[in-house]
Amino acid sequence: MGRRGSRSRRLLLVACAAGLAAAAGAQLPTAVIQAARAADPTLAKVEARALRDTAGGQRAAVLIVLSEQADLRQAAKVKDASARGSLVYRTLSAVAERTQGPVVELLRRRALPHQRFFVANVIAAHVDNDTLLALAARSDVRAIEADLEQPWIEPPAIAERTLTPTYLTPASVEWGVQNVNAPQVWERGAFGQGIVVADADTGLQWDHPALKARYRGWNGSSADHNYSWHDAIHEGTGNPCGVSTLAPCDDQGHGTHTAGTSVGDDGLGNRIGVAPGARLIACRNMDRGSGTPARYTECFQFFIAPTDLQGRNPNPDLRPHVINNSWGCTSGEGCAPTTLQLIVENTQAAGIFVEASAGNSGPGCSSVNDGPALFGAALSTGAHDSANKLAGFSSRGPVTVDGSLRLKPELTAPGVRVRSSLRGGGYGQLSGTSMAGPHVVGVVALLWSARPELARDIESTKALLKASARPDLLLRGVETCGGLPSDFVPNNTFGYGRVDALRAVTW
Amino acid sequence: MRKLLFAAVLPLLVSCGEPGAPGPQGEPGPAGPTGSQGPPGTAPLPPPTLTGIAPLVAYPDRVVIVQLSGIGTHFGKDTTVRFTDPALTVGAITVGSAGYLQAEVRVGVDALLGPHDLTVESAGVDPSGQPTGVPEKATLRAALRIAPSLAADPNGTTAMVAQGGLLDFSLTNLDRDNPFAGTARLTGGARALYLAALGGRLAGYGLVDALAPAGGLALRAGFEKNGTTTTYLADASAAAAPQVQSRAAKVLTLGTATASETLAMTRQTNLYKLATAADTQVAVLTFVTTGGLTTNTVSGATAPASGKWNDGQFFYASSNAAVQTALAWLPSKGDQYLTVLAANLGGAADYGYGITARAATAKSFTTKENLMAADTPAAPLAAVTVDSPQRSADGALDGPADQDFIRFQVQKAGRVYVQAVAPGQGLAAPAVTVALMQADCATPLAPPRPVQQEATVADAVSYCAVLSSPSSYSGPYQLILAQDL
Repeated sequence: MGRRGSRSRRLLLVACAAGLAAAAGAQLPTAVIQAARAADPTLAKVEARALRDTAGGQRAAVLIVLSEQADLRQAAKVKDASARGSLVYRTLSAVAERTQGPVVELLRRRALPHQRFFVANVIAAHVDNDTLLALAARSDVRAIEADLEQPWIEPPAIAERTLTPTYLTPASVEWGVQNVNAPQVWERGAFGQGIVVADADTGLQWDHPALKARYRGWNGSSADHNYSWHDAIHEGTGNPCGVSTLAPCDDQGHGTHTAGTSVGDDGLGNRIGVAPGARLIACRNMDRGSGTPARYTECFQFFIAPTDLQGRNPNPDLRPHVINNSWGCTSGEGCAPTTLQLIVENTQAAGIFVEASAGNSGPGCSSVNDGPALFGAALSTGAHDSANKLAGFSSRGPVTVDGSLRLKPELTAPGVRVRSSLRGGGYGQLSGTSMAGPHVVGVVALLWSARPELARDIESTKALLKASARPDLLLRGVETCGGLPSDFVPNNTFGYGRVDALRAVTW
Repeated sequence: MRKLLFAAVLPLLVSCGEPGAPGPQGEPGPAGPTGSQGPPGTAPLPPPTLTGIAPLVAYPDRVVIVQLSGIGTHFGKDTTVRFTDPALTVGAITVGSAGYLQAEVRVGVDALLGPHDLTVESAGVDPSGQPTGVPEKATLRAALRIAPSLAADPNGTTAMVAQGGLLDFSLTNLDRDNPFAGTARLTGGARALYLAALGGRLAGYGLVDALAPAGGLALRAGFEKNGTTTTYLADASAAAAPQVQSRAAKVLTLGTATASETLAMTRQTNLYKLATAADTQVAVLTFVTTGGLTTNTVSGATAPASGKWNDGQFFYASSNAAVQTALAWLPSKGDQYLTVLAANLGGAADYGYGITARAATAKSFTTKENLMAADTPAAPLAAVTVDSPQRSADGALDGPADQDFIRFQVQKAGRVYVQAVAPGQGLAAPAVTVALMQADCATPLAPPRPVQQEATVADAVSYCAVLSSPSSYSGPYQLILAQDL
């Protein structure tokens, strides 16, 4: 009783302070919030940013993480891919359905907008301070994380876009595709056929000449975007694509470029993709390069069980094999790391390979700070250039932001001046680990196409990609991150080395 | 019967004049009695012949149960089975019948690759089954083929490599009955610097032995598990076997600088030879680096007169910015080999260095842990004065989180070098790191560094070396402390 009384007083303190702050039209001082969170485990569940943003009487977007989360350990034992996908979907849905009712009821009573998810047992909502505290006090709520919009892709200084006139026919396969030894795997008859690649990005120009034939929603004569496209952008103005679009659209160009590197080929010499035999689906999780946790949650959920364009009739059998995540949400306020980690792990449990670009915050150590790259379940990719020199901007490990000291990145791939498809139908070069990640995605598609026995076996595939990587990256001098000099392999500078499709396939 | 009748009437014809016409032939008489049984047959016995063997193929460093069948053989309790290659030895023999037996065959690691004749001897018997006293001998030509258990993949294996040079290898396990398991190590022909073993493939890079014979390289790998090592080996005559090219080692003289050395090409190695006049020496190798090598690390290995890097040790130099220094343990006097490379496997025209080797007799000390009382910063494993190189060979990290503390003093102010190297260490995840601390074993002097660390120290002041593993290694290490000689 004493503890409960004490907690109530602290909640009251925050509530009163919030009321005063609202009356004064000001935000609560950070120090007050931190002190309150440190003193009360209930408040510690709430991300400080959410407390701060609601302290002035405003509503703030949050993700409410429920205490009970699905236990998907059994899924790994299910060998049948279809059954596994179905089991994961059913288990996730059942847990969400069974446990979200009381919280949803609370939100309904207060007429607060909310969106339920099952990919992790979370609810996105816009809440006021009073509701925030009420939710925090509930035992069925594990955490409340701020759901903020932030830029998720390379700044222009790194991307250094240079448009290549479309009338220039390239002489050969793009350097990055060659660098990962994809053509040698093609010679063995594996192009990624039978594999579905998903791109979570700024959208997709699906009818780009290099992508149209690869897009799963195109059957060669007509388009059907059900189950192959989802738009998680539902609000805002000025977006060139609009919102909640029913056909793929890229509002920035980044997604069209990354997708091209995974699977693109126009059949006329623009051999830009690593796995041109794979099929492509996409989800827009960024509004012109900026995303929110609710958006990435929605896209991952779509990938675990793709739906029709109305968001209905989910079908886990149509889930992709591998997801490219050329985006990163900087851990800290607004990125909902608890939610994202749950999502990545649940997605992997469904037999979906989650690849994530390491980030562009190098060359400092411990600069892999962005989700999903920082998580153990995601395979993160750094960037090197055509001379196999590690890019200075490529983020380094170890991961310190969550205290794990996890070794990152695991691999590197071509990520400097990568020529791929541009919005509008042309081609151009971009740089960044965003460009490196799709190479790895393509390699996974090639590998699973060539060796179907490995398909959806995430752990074996990761081990194989690491073992078969080439640790011959060039650096200006030895780098030591997390006590590991870059001479030793693996290290926190380039992980296990350059991804190599041929070595992986023939291992 | 008809002839007998004619003989009976002939005397009558002689005594009674002209013979009459022959009478009609009589009726055949009754059948006579059955004749007695003849003696036993004496058909010759077939020569003893071995007709079958299973399996047909075995691998070196394996024990295989061979099943043999024969015709005309008399396998018995005295039967022996042998091969001409002494590396193939036969253990227990179980006789199932005169024409079937099982034999345990131990195929030594040095067994000749290819077909091997097999001879079985049993006690001879005569046609009546009685021992003849003469052994019955049967030979099966090309009975058992000893096959390489590793195959080099030409896509991932260097085709030509110089003695002491850097070799890429990609090896496939051909012995499906014995999948790779345990800790891998190259054990023949080369020392691995980096290994990746997964499924049936072993790949990485390493250093070819300094005296590896020119021609095809016989690569070997050992997998150690639960104290048992299983060896896999490749055929040096296989088409994809790396071809070793002879290279003369450059002679170093102890105490004399060799200047203007370069690692001009990526993955280049330089091979040296030096001679020591006494046993139990520690060499201090000083590299004055220039150009691109100033920001990269000199690394390599030493080997005794055998030229085998696995008989020597790996080194990874520490640096004071201007000079890089590495320690090496030279246990036996005589020829020593040294190969030098950039640890990043890089190289360029400006990767320059000068090298000086000096050696001195090492003293020995113990860092054996007291299992009843773990060492602590306050109670280190050892306290040693580095008045000459000091070496301990009995230290070990006893668990993944173990830390070993060694307190030391020097007798002359200057740089001190502390090296802790685990068996098999190369450029894979470091087994042991060395941090240098003040005497309290807590105040940092030089941060943890794989293999070797150095610092400037004052004389007659105590310092502390702290050994730990960033890779959860537990196992033995060799520790050397030295100053410039």
